[in-house]
Amino acid sequence: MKHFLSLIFATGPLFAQLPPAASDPVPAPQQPPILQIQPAPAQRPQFILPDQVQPNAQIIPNLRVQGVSASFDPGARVGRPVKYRVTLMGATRITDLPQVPEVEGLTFRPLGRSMQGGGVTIFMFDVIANRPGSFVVPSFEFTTGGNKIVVPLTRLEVADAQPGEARYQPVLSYIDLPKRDFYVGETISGRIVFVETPDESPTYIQHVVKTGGSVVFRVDNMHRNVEVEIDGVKRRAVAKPVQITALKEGPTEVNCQVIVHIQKRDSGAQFQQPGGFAMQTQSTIDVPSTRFQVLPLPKEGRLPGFSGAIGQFLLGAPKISGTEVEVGEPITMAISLTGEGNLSGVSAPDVPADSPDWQIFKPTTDLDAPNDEATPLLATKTFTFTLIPKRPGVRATPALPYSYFDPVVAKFVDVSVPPQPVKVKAGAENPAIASTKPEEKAPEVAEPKSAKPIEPSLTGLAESPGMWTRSLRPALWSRWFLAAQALPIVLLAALWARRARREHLAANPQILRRRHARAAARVALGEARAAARRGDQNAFLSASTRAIREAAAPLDTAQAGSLTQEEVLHILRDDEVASRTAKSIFESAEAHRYGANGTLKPDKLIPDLEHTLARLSAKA
Amino acid sequence: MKTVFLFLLLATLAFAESPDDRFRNATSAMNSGDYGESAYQLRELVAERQFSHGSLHNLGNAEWKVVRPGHAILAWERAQLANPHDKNTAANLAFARHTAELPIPNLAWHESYSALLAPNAWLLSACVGFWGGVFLLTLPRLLGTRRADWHQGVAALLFAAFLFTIPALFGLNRRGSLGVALGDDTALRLTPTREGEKLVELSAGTLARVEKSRGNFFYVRAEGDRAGWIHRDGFERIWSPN
Repeated sequence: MKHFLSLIFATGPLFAQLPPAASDPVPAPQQPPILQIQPAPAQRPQFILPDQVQPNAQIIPNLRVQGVSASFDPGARVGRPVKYRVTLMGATRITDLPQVPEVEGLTFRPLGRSMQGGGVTIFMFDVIANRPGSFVVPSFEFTTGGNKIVVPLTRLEVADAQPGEARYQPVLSYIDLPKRDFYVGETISGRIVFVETPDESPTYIQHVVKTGGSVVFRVDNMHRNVEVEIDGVKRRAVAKPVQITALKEGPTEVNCQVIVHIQKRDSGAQFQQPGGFAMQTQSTIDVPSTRFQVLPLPKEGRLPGFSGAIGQFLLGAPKISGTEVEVGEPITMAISLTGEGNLSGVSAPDVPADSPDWQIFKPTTDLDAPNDEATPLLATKTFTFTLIPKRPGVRATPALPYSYFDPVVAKFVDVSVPPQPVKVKAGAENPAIASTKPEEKAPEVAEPKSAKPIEPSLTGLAESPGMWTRSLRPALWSRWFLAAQALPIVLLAALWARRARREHLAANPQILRRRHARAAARVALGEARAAARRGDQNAFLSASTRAIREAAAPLDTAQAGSLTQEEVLHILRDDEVASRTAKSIFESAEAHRYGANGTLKPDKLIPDLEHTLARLSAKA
Repeated sequence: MKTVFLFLLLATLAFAESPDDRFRNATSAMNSGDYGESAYQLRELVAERQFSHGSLHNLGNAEWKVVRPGHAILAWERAQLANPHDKNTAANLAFARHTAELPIPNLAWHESYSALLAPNAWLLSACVGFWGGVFLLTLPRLLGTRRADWHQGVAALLFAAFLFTIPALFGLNRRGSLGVALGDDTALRLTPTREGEKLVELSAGTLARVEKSRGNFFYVRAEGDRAGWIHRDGFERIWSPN
């Protein structure tokens, strides 16, 4: 089989040069190997139609083109595509697509080039006729590699469309961009979309070439199946993300040419598959132009440190490799800018060239783009500066002015890098310069400004300090708190003891009576002593009798004032001294009451009186 | 010599700034945009163990302005401790966590419940509830007066209030172990040594719970069961400054 095919291809060029006999049947088509697998011989393409090869087809020796032919597939109908092939025998280095002349009523759409074994190059076009009739594609020339190739005249007979047959609908294509104006230098995220139609289904986007527009056109490697809405109907589509950076202000038009693999649902196709769709073909599609307005960046409100960054960014907290350094010791400070925009082309913040405190080197940059489908422009660019302090006492890194332009709010946004607190000490080699300069006050630290409107925000300051406290720990763990818990316990215990004592005294009233008697006797004894010292016999006797009565009262049921001499003496009957003393005092008091002057010596009676009272207290 | 010392002491006392003075100085510095000076003044107050809600809230703002998010979150957490109902402090914490992309602390229900009131308010409520109930039930008898119906009713209410404080006290006890990672990429290590194997890094401001301590290291556990030893320099408990 292989040898047979080789033989066919070897003889192919001969057919191309021979004029056909009118009565000869159409010879078997010269099929390249890849096409041999196709079934249905009736539908096989006729790549070389000897009857259409012009005898005088121009042979170009240096390209070794041995024959040029052009042909249409049979069965052309109005509104349905039919294949037009330009076949070059014996040349495989031809890459330029022939420019087919315009023919009224016919629309040509290039499908690409295929190279077959044996030196056959075929350029294919889809041709759609808008009316029935006979059409002639005149002979035309095209130039490739500086050589001229003449394509012969071709005729096409187009029948009317079958009743009820719809017009052929090729895939729809467009460049999908945000519906707004853009700014010069802004990078826009868009996509090239190919939408499925009843006749064609895009499967794969192979290659994209920008064909017009003052923009930088960057195409993503991936393409995705998406769903788009056209005239209120959701349709399947294939989209390829594209990033467009506008270069010039003014009205801008961008378009591109795309090689797309398409499956065709065409009943007349020669490579019909059982599932309904024809074999996948490759088409070159000119995507219609998309127009938008490119605005210049506003001149007003431009902030220091603007280096062309356009988008919406967030400045991350600067990261310093060390906060305590010595003079001459390098540290690194990494600043990251995260957001959506033209980060790939953004340059680092300018560093002060003549800083007296720091030597700052040009930063290294690192771009991290996660390539997220939802946010294709989202990336983080990190600038890592190396700083070397020049003198001790420096307390902060220099502020680095930086800003970007936010195209959504059309304003410049300040994202300057604030000074970072560091402590620069004198190096071990030059301690002498340490503390020669007073420490500078930390410079004003600017607020790191957020780029995107963030829901939560920093609130204002407290106007008053509030109540001061010495500890943040709750008192739960404080010793004094635990000690304070003992106070209620002690209080309750004291109250309980008081209550118990009261109940005890209520149950034993003689205790109180004895206590009162002792107290009254002590008072009366004191008065008696005082009277004895004064030599006041009358007062002494009065106080002494009262003391004896008070002391004796608990031993009797009567009140102290109503006790008689006999009752007291009865109580003291077992103590002679006390009995005698009590009797002497009572009798003297009685005598004194009736005017007799006694011979009683009060000061000498005090010890006996005290003995008597002690005796009575002991008895009680 | 003694005279000189006495003079220096008197001069120090005369020029020593009161907490209110420092607070005012810090506020004016902040208003004039000198965030570094403001942060310095307010940090000095913390170093002197002078805490108040206003000073801690403003310290958080100042630390945030000088891009020390870990210290800012620590200050706001402390301010919230002093006044749990301040919406500005809560908003700042939410803002900081949103901006720094930190996880929202996942507190147990009793810990969240304990955050409804200031810690000492819970303690006061518990003391009043318990001892008030006890006194109302026991005092009439101890004082020899008749126990009225309202005594028992109020005592029941007070005991109920005390019961409501018990989960909060437990939550307070649990929250006492919380702390904040101060530096960015603070390392959690396998062993409590500076050379210990680095297990994971915590972002500045991440909340973690201290489970044990050894020397200068805490064994902490953060969200997502990220656990390891962390040096005291890079971590500070909310309720007890290192």
